[in-house]
This record gives sequence, C-alpha cells and structure tokens, in this order.
Amino acid sequence: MEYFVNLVASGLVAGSVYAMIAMGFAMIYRATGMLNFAQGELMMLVAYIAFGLASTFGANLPVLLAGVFVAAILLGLLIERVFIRPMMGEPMFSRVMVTIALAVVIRGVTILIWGQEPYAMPRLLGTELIRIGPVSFYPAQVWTLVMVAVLCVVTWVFFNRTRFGVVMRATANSESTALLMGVNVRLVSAVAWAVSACFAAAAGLAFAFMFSVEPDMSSMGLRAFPAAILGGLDSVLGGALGGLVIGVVENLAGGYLGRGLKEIAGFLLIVVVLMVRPYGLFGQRHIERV
Amino acid sequence: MKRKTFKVAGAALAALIAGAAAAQDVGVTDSEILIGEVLMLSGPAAFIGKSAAAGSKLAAAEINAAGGINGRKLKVLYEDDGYVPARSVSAMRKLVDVDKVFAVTGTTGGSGVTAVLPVLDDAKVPTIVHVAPNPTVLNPRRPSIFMIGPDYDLAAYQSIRHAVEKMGKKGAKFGLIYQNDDYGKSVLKGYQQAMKDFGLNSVAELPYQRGAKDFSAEALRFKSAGVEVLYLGTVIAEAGGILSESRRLNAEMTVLGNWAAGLPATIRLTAPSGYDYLFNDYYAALTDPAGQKFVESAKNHLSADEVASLSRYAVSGYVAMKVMGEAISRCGKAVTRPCVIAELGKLKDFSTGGLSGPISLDNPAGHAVPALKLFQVDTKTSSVKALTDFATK
Repeated sequence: MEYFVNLVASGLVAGSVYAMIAMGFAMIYRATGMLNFAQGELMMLVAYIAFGLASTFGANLPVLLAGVFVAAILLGLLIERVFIRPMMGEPMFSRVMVTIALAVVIRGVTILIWGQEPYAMPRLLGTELIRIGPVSFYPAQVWTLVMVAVLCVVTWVFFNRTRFGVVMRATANSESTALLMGVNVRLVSAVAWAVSACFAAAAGLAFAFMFSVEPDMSSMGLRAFPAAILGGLDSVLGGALGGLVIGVVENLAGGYLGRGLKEIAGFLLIVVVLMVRPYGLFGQRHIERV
Repeated sequence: MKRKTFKVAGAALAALIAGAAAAQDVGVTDSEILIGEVLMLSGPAAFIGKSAAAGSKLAAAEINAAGGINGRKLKVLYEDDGYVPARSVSAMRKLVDVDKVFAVTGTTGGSGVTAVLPVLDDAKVPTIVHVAPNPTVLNPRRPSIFMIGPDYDLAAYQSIRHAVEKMGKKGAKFGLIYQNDDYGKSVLKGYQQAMKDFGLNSVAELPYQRGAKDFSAEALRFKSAGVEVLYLGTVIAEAGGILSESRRLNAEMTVLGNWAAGLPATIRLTAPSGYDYLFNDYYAALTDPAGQKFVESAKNHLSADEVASLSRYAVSGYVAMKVMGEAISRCGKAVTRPCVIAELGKLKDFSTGGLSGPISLDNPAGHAVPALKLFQVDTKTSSVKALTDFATK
C-alpha cells in the first residue's frame, strides 16, 4: 500500500507541471479559440529568466516570484500585441502557425543567451524533506502541489465570480456576438495571453526547482497537451485535472508495468477517453441543429 | 657530355615531379595540410562539439608552434551540422569534395557518424572517429576509418568489476537504469555481461525514454527492490533526476556510471543528492596533472571562450589530432592518404602524455580501446578525484 501511495503522490507532483501547462493551453483556447503551441517554450523562457534572476542577481524567493510573474505578464502582453493581434481575423490555421513559429523563435533566443547545457536552479525553497504520512516530499514538490491548488481556486473564482471572467467566457462562446455586445475583444485576448504566461511561469518555476533548467524542458509543452485534451480544451480547471490524472497514470504504469511504458501511458489514456468523450472530461459539448 | 648532362637533368626533373606529386596528395601543399572536422557546434549537443573543436584546435596549434609536420602546418576546417544527420552528410561532402581536405579527425555524434561514413569510405580519407565511438563505425571494416574509445559496454563492465573486486559488492543487489536507445542497449549489454561473469544478483533493469524528466517511479522501484549498487546508463540531466528521487526515498546505494556521469553539467545536477558516485573514463580529468598541463597550454593557444568550453571532449579532440599528426609525420615528406592510412594501422602504444592510456590502432578493427580510469565525484565540492590510474582491469 505504501508503494501505491508513493506512486500516486509522486505522480501528482509530476502531473502538477502538466496541469499548469494545460491550464495555459485552455486559457488561450477558451478566450480566443486558438491553440498556443509555444506554451512549452514560454515555460522554458520564464524558467531561464528565473534562473538568471536567482543565480546571476542572487534574488531571494519573494523577489524571484515578483520578477518572474511580472516578466511573464509582460511577455504574454508582448506576444499578443506583436504576433497575435495582427493575425486577428486571419484563418485559424495561420494563427496557429504563428504560435509554432513563435516556439522556434523563443527556443532559439533562449539557447542563444543561455546555451544548451542544463543548469541546477539555486535551492531557494530549501532541501529538508517534508514527511506527510508515508510519503516524503522536497519543499519544491509541496510548493508545486500548493501552486496548482491555488491556481485552480483563483481560476474558478475568476471565471465564475468576476465580471471580466464572464466576459471572457462570453467571448470564447461567440467572438462576433461579444463584439456586437460591446466587449473589448482585444483586451480579452491580451489578458488571456498574460494569464496564460503566468500559468507557464508557475510551471517553469516548478520544473526548474524540481528538475533542472534546460532547453529540452520545452518538450513538456507537448507532453502536457494530452492533459489539456483530456480535461477538455476549453476547460481551464479540466486541464488541471487532466494533468494530475496523466501524472498519476504515468507513474502507476512506470511503477507497476515498467518497460518504458511510463511515457506512453498518458497518451494511451487519451485515446481511450476521447473515444468515449471526444470533447474531454470537462469540455463543452457543441451541438449544432441542422 | 651534353647528352649525359641532359639525362641527369631529366632524371632529376622526373624525380622532382614524382616527389612533388607524392607529397601533394589531396589537401596537401608544400606548406600546409588540410584537416576537416564536422562537429555539432550548435544544437542540443553543441557543448560537446565546441569542446572537441577546441581540443583539436589546441593540438594543431601546438604542432604548428613546434614547426609543423616536416615543415608543413596543419590547417583545420570546421563544419557545423547542428547534430542533424542530414546536415552531417552535406557538411562532410563539402569538406571532402569542395574544400578537399586531406584527412578528417571529427565526425560528429549520434547517428550523424554513421551517416558520414560512406562519404569518407568512398574517398578513402584517413579518418579518426572519436566523439561518438560506437561499434557500427567499424562494422563493416572500412580501411581508411579508425576509432578511438571503448564502447559503453566495456565502461559498465569495468566499473562493476571494480565494485565487485575492490569494493566487496559481490553479494549486493544490483540495479540498472538505461536510456532506451543504442547507447542504453550498449550499457545494458556490458551490465548483463558483468552480472553473468561475476555471478551477481540484478534485481531491476529499467529503461526510460529519451527526454524523460521525472524518475520518481523508477527510484521507487529500485528502493522497493532493495538495490544496493545502481548503474547509471543515463546521459546528463537524467542522472540528477534519478539520484534526487533516490535521496528523497532515503535509498542508500553505491552509484556507478560512465564518463557521461562525469561531465561538469551532470555533476552540477547530481551534487545536491549527495551521492559520491564513481564513474570511469578513458581520458584524464582536467584536474589531473596531465589535465592541468593541458589547460595551461590551452590558455596560451585558445580564446577565453574556447578555454571555458574545455571538457573531456576537448581531450578527445586533442588526442585524435595528435594521433593523426603522428601518422602524417611518419610519412615524412611524401604525405599521401595511403601512407597515412598505413601508418595509422601500425600505430602502437602512442603516448598522449598522461591524457589517456597508450593509443594503439594496430589491430584488425582499427579500434583503439584505451585503458579506463576510475574517478569519484565529491558532491560537497562538485569536483572529481582519481581513484586509479589508467588500467585495463
């Protein structure tokens, strides 16, 4: 039993990173109806910025958090203004291609500045193990779990209890109707990108503190994509749950089956779930009368 | 008399022409010998390529500073393939067909090495493979291509042998984690051979997919299987992941690895876990006496950026260029590809001044398998110390 509990606990930790990236995917999809394939690269870039602040400038934790989230918001706004807004009204395919190009650019620039070698993030969160029942956690792992929980609560409140959240939902439902109703769609798009970048920042920080800072970490974007699909692409909270589920399933597969099945277990789960619920666990079912 | 003088002059001219022809094979002039290298100077393995390039540049600079090889200076041309096999082939074609290099001492890594071999074989270019030594380079045997470096199976076998014979781990439970590719399979082969030859108890052999980040399940499996000696068939960042998770589970283990575990980047990532693991390498550490001398020479000949890039791969590039230089020098003034290939094939116990064990290519495979040296990581200082000298056992 202890073995099972440990697998589930560490699966939740690993899944937390997927969850935060998936929330970023869903945030943009929900507000603008498009997929951002640069989410993993955005996460990587912010992690490098965090690494730079901590190692080069010796930032302590509060300064680091403030710096990273401010940088993420600015990055999100900049990307939206420079790359996304000019594409408004263009075919979805073109808009998605822009995000793919953006991913390549971010990756290239990051490597240009920091190089290819992996780095260890300064241990600002401490190294003393925290024991919860039969499971020991590093402080960074607990921090990651808490971060996901906080993001979920804030997201729920934002979408259900704030006027702007309702406006974003309305825009996602029908952009043209929202425009006719006087909604500032440009602002909605800008806020969605800024918030999505904050999700990427949280994921990047979690990854950096738990593993390392390296260009290859951007691949987590694609690894987290099934989490977004599983939860439902238009459900931010669904993305979070999808990430956690995939993390646990992968770990259970690794712990009980092995043979390298860990990495494909999440994708197998997606295939099965989508056959039953093509719109994901929490996605909205679109019905058209013909 | 006139006729005799004419004959002598004619013979002398013919000898001169013949001599000049012999001395001016492709890529060789009276003053210069062109050497080519295709390396991953950008892309995910750039730190290896840049380091290897710095090493070969240093060797060439030292040779040239000492007057060159029989009066000819070495000139090295570098091409970047970005660690993409298709680019490796076009870069090598450029070096061989357009730049017309005489020899090649850098052949990139991964599957790029295999991709460039036909180009080199067709043109019969004297070649030394050293960045990514793997059995496919020499199988089938291509007469102009030589390789320096043991395969990963030998590295695994030798360090497990050390654990058994010198550290008393005969009765321990062994475990292995390996990347699910050619590299990992080579490690697995050596590990399993050691298990068989020494009668050891292997309780877990876990593969992982390239790019894996989270190793919590694997660490838990090792812990629950009671692994006491863990062999790392990992590349760089994965070693940090598996050891960090093992420490979280309070797993007390002796940890072994190969030279990938001894790279500075790997040590940076593994140091917080506190495992003072062992790894072996066939090149000296830069902190060894020979390594320090190497670094000092680099400071005299290379730029600050190049000095900063030095690692075991720089030693690798250096040794390969020195070996090629030795074979060329043995040909005297008549530097031809067939002569250099023949001299490479005769090379025996070539000394690298302590940077490695003696290099011998005088075997049917054309494969130098230098002796391995064991090191231990000191996690407190993130440094390495040598435990043994270069030894075959």
